[in-house]
Amino acid sequence: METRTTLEAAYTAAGVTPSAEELERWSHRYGQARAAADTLFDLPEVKYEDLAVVFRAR
Amino acid sequence: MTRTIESALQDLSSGAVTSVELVTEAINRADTLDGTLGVFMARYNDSALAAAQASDDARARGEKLGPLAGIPIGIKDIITTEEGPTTCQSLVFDSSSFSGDATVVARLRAAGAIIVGKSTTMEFAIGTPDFSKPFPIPRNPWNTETWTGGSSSGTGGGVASEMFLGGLGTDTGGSIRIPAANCGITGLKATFGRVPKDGCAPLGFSLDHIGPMARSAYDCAVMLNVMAGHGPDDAAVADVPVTDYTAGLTGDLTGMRIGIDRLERKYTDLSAKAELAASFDALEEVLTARGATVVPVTLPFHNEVSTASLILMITEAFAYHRNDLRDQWDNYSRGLRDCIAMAPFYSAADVIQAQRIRRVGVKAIAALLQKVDVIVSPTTTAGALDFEQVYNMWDGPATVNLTGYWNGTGNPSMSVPFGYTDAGLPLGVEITGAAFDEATVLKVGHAFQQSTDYHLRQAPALTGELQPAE
Repeated sequence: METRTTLEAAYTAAGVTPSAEELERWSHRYGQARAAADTLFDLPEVKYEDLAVVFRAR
Repeated sequence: MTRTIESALQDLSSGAVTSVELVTEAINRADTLDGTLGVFMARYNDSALAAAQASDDARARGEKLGPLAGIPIGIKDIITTEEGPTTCQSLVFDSSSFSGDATVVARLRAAGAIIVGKSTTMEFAIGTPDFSKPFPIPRNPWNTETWTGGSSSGTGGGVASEMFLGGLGTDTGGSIRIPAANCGITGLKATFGRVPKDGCAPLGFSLDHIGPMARSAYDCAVMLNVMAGHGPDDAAVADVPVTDYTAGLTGDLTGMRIGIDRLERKYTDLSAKAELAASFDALEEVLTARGATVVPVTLPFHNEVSTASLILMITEAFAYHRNDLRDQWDNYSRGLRDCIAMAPFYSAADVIQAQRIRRVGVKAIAALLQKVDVIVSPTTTAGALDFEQVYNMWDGPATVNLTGYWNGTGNPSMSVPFGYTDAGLPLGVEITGAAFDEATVLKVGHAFQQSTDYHLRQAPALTGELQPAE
């Protein structure tokens, strides 16, 4: 229920209105997606990294 | 015999075939199979035949012809062409916002290519097929109960079913390479910035690529020769010199070091484990026999860069669509909503961290590519998915995305067919090189295809063994 409430708030802020069925289904994905995103903050290699420039034109 | 761009160019040059005959073959095949396979959003039979006749006339007059003169080509329907509207396979997209040729289409046309139609995708190149919307469902020529994969679905199915000899795909998380693998053909995502993207609807602007899909690495090289290079209308295209990508296609890999990561740690219960293992064993033998030294490598930060790429694709797409999602939620496909509506899961810090992770990945891969010339890894962990698996794709681990990693780093990566599942569905392997070194990627893929014929084998749709869709 807490996840669903969190998501409802996020969608309200974005101004989009998923159906109840969609909200229910996506609530089950949120934990895994959140955990994966959190791992991005665990890498020490990133500490001094600048924002991305993928490839500079030579 | 399986036609390729290479063989068709030879036949056109020798007079064994005309462009009108090639285009007529393609039209006839589409007349027969497109209703089942869902390759086309739009077909341009009349203009294609007129262009083919003009090409044949010019050849007969002895005029200098372009490198793709007379070759039938399909264009993914998120890229604009002058023949007709671009729909992005969407009820939401305003097709009047695009007109004329994208730079990459203009280059193909100037090289003599014949544009035969616009090919299917998922809506805006993301999500899954939506049976409730009024668009064709792309079905796999190897088994019509399975999907081609996406999002360059129609281009993959169209090359595999010979409705055109080459085509344009786009790739933000694997959308060239996955359908290429599923359909048993070759697809190249060149380096980010190598091919101009103006005239193409964006998905994730920092991850999007346009690239060639065709039977072989050679065919992709011929197409890339025409497509690559700086252009004035795309701010992200790189001003990096291009080369003749066919020049190094000798079949000889002497002295090359090839790193292989089979990525078995990413396999799931649905993965074609035994078939992939056998295919990799055979691939290593071929590469070694061609003169290369094969060494095991581990792709650095694979989970993190893949996650970063996914977050960026979803959030960049959501930014593009947010206002239309507000106003036209139900007009969007279920699959698109399933995917990009995950964007509110993520914070601004997540997005920034994803970009920083990406830079770490770029540096790590560049370091690894100092030790080996290319890296080989599986394109997918399984063959084509059936439509029930596809329907639930974003809700569970039906498949594992291995391709988005290379969108995050931007390296050139090409999928070539290298085996089959026990069910007879094609499997693909990715060959990835250093930034802007498409030539080496193509060289390795071409050498592999000199010893194998997976890329030339015809799908049941072509051999008369088509399994009808229910």
